[in-house]
Amino acid sequence: MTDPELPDHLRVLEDHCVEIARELREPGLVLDEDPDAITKYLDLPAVRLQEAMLIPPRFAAETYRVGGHSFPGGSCLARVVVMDRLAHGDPGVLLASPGPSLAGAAVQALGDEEQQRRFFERFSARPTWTFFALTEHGKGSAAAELETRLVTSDEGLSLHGAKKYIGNGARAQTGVVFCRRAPGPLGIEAVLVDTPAPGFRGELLPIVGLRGVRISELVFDGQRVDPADVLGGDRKPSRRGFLGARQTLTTYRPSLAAMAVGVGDAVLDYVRAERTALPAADELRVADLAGRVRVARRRVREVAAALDAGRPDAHKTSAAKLTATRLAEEATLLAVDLLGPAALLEHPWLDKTYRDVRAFEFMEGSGDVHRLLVFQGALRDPGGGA
Amino acid sequence: MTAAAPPRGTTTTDYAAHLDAAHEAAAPNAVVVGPGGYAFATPERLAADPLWLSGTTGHALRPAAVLPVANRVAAEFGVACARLADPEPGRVVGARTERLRHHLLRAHTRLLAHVVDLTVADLGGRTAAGSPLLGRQLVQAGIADAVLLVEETGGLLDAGVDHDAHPAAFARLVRGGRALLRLLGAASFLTDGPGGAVLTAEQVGTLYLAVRHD
Repeated sequence: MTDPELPDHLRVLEDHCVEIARELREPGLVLDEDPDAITKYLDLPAVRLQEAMLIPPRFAAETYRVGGHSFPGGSCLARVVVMDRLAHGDPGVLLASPGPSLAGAAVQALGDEEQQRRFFERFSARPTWTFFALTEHGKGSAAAELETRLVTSDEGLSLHGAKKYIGNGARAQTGVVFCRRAPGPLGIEAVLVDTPAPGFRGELLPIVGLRGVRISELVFDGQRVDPADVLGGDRKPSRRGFLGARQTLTTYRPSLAAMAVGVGDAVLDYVRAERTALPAADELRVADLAGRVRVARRRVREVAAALDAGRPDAHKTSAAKLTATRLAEEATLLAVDLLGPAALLEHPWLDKTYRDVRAFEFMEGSGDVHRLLVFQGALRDPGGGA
Repeated sequence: MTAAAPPRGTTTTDYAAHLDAAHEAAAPNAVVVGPGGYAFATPERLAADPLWLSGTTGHALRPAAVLPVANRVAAEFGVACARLADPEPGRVVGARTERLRHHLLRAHTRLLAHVVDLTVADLGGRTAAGSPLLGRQLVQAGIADAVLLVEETGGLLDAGVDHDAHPAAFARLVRGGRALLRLLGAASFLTDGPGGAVLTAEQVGTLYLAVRHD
């Protein structure tokens, strides 16, 4: 059902997404078996739309159009509407698709005009996968803790270290790597790298779900970095890498939360379709969760609109992300409960989704990181703003 | 509960042995078949012409065929799934299929106990903002909750918990296991790590423990 509180043009977009999301179910199951199969689905409207949402209008070769409206990239609210409704079809296809992804947000946050042009124009030329390499094993996505080094020598700049749990890392042609040039938070840089390249190695990690994302471990063993690829190199250190990591995550978290909302919604729709006659008590359980999903959707859209208005709220964004991811997981547990003990064996889509949703917990900051941010928000706004 | 306990010393890789021991506890050489004709056991046990035993009626089953059901995550831990095609009920076997469920709960509990150990070891070597992660109250509380769950479930099993309570105990293990895994971050999403082992226990438990089988 379209959100009546959305502006008219976004309601048109939402309806369109509901329609094209249906085409993602089958590809989602295929990618669960063969993550490389994404190349067969690059012409799907949903694949093109998710990419278009992340390309700034001035770098887009063409604008995505629906019903007389054009939808240039850049609006967080439009993006969460898209990711929510498309994830109802399959989140794995979206995350496996080519496009700027989180790396694009980092380039936008930190890059100068020339760096942005070089990065974004390549998407018009050919399908391009990207990665956002922040997380390190044992350090999580805490930018201040990272150990990958950017070394300056007579031969120039080079990267040394390893990143882990990087989406599309082993498939991408380009990406942003967060690294350390000096001790302390001001010593962090973000650099653009192209792959494959000497001194770079990417290996797939076996994961239980969202397999299309091809979570990878990246090793940098002296990969060269052009000084022109240090993002925001002309800025003061306080306005560079560390800030960029935070800005990027703040910008992208609503999209991830929106995907979790869409998946939670999809699971409940699946239960309703498979079990048309539930006992009253079970109907109430489904209705309760559906109501919570609707509230989560509203919260995600509120934080996205605030971000578009230049008033990002990290605390409320964390609350929205945490709530949405937990609801998606709750929905799969409820579905298995209601569809019976053979549910995971007789419903392949549910089995896949049951595994997929747990990934949301770890993407763009773990649940406990967000719980702490919610706590800090409660200190700021006693009563939690309720 | 008088059945022998499954082997001690659960690790993420020997859940499969405990699963076979659970089938054996129901009846010698048996594989208990769950709803829909599905069964989980080691590939060796499934292939060894076992006594197929209905988990709901206690009848021996004669299938027209035994079909493999692919399961990538469970296979990582030596657990396979099969589906019996057109099983016909045979004689009633004097089996104790509730023992399977008791043993599965025990194996799941021991697996979580092992994951607690892994978590403490992993986080014990990590720091955040210069201080040990294990010094953080949020982390300590998460581990303590898992320990309490393991202790409580173990106590219930020692006391011979009524089999009507098996689904509720399993549901607590599922939710508690997931909460524990969150402490390991993205590492718990790896197929070959504790997250894969716990998911395998969830899949097996969903078939055999999620609802009453009487």
